[in-house]
Amino acid sequence: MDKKERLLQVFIEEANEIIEQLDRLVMELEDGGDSASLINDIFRGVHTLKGSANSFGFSRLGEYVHHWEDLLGMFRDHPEISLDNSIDQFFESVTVVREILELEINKTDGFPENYEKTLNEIKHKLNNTEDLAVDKSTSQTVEKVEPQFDLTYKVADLNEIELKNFTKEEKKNIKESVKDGKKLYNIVFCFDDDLYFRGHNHLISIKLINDIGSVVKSYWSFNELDSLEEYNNEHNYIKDISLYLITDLDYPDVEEIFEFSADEHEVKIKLFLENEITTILSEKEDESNVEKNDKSKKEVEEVEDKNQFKRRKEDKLIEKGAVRTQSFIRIESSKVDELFDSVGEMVIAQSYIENSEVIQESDNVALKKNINALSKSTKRIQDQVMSLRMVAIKDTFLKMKRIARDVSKKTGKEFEFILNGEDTEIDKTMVDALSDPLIHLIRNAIDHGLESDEDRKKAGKGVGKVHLDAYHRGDNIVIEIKDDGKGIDTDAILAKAIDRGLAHEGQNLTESEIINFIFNPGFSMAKEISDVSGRGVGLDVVKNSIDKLKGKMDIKTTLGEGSSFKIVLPLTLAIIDGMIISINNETFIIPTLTVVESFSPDMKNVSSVQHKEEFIDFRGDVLPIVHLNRLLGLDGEEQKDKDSVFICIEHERGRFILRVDSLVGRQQVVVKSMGKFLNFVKEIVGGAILGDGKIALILNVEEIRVKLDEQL
Amino acid sequence: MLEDNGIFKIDAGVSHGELDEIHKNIVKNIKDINTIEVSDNDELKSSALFSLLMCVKNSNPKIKIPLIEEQNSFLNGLGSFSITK
Repeated sequence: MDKKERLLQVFIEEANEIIEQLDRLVMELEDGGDSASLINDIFRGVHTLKGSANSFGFSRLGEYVHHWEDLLGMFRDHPEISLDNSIDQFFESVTVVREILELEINKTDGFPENYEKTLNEIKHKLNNTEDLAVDKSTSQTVEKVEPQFDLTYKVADLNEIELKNFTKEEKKNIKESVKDGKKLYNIVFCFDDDLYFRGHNHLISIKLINDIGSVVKSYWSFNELDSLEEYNNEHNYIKDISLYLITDLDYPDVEEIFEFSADEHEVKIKLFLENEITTILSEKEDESNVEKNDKSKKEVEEVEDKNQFKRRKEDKLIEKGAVRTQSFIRIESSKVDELFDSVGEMVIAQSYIENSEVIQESDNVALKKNINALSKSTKRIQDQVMSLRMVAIKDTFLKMKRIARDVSKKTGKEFEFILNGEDTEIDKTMVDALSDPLIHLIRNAIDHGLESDEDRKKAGKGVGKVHLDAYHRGDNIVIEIKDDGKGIDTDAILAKAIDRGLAHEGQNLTESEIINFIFNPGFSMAKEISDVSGRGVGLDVVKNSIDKLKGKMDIKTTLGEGSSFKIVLPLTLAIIDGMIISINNETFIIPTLTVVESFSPDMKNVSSVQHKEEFIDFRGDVLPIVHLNRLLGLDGEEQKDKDSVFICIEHERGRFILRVDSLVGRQQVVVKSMGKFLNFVKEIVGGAILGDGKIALILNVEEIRVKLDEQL
Repeated sequence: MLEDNGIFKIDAGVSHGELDEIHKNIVKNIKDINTIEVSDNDELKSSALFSLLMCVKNSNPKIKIPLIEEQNSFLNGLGSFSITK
């Protein structure tokens, strides 16, 4: 990946973050938040997008956000103008920006569906709002300042003074670099007062420079500073920055890099010719320089004296306070995964030492104490590393709020959308994968779950409610989508399932089994296909997505009262809670999330068909039995039935029994991939190293159920 | 954060949005601050931090602020660093 591609990747990531943030800010605006501050924040986000879009040649995105920024600027400068009629347009603009970005990234021609419509609306509103603003404001006039981009080759006197003031080491560095064919540039940025309002930060320019060469020296010039009490963080006091850069790049390349800044602030670029450098730097550091330095010192002293005079009287506020600041480091998720994996290995090694016979049988108290301390530290490190992968689900939830809002508009249904547990933390990889399933479920809850406003009135119900909750339950995270709508008609589902040949008349099915038919591809109960849902596409995708996350779904419904879709997920994909079992002296792991219970069978309840398929009467349900040793083709003699253990497994197609020789224990294990060469072994989902150092394979209960269905 | 020895510490990675809080705390504790240190465990995030520090120095020249007073290697990306008024 070259430098430009890397920068593009950073831009894409940041742009997506900004777009999500814009969604949230507009929602806060709609909810009655502080409009001045929110408009400011939206403006900053849009402005940042504009600058970056133009620098990557994303002209469609650049043009759109440019006009939107103008409109936002107008609202920012004229808070007296009502925003009421603009919120919908802001939402649409966020959607359009998201879509254009995708087109730009994929280098796809064309425009999003609402591009032209919303852009015209923005322009129209901008013109009308400008009129309104001019009418309403007697003192304020809107003045557009055209961007300036002044490039000059002229050697300024200032350059010479600055260059002469370089230290011997700096001068030597410049001379040697120039001898090696490198070039010396002076780049001067001139900034205006409201730079921060436009989302700019001086360090952006500095970082850009550091990518192309090394800065020898920089001079920062400040505007007159307010007193400390009156100091305003939103005001830019840095008037200009003059940098001396050594780089291999030629003038046009350097010029091109700063083209994007033309819209932001004035940039002056000067390339020093070799003879100029020689002339300026060859002059001996004469007395005038010393005098100059003395003069500077004197100036500083004068300023200090002046400030002594200016210094205000003792501050009455003497209360000591503490500032809590947080800083973040952006790290590639693959690096965190590698770290996590290594820590997993460390945990295994530690567990191996702890459980080794030598240690167990040792009567060395000090050694055992140290091993115990090591164990605690290892666990703490594992927890800390695991927390690196955890992020609050808040952003995803807020995204859902936007989805709910859009569906409300499309369906015309009024309802309350209630979020709970937004701070619940979840594995980052899961957050990304959860977005689409949640969108489907929320759309369904509103479109199919909630009755129309009219029907609710008839049923004596108030305004509908849709809840989106997240919470921890044991070692799992539960995300629940709940509505107080009409509920799911299980009779209608069964009839449809029979009609489609998925079930037959008289089949004894539990409510859960009937409801699970809705996860079949193309299975839709919607009488009409709408823009929102009803095409039968979605719930099977939802199920597949949740399966991939090693989670499960639990649906509860009551006709006339509403439905609840619970998504139960493990805390992380990298570690699972496993039940360790033994069959024919081989050790396997079953994810405990799928285990209902284990028991010693009463053989009276076991029956077989033609001495082949076996079933057990398990509290009134007849469940098929899978002999794992036979299914996996394990060598060795099969244990007698009465000595075996039965494990009831929960599966969307119905529960079934795994027959194993014995239960060994329960343990959290780090999941290891089987690698591409063993991918064909579908019954095994991965491997893990146990505390005693032995390897155990993790069973894929999904695939075992598939195999069972094929046999039955 | 103001420590008992009069050193007020600021993370280099402080964002622009957090500067208001820092500003308020500096104003509140100005009498007890003798040095403002900017930690070098992260890269600088906001240029407005420079302005704030310059303002502090301008108002209270006796407060030591190594970031803007010393040729600090922490500011490597800027080469050597000087401020003109």
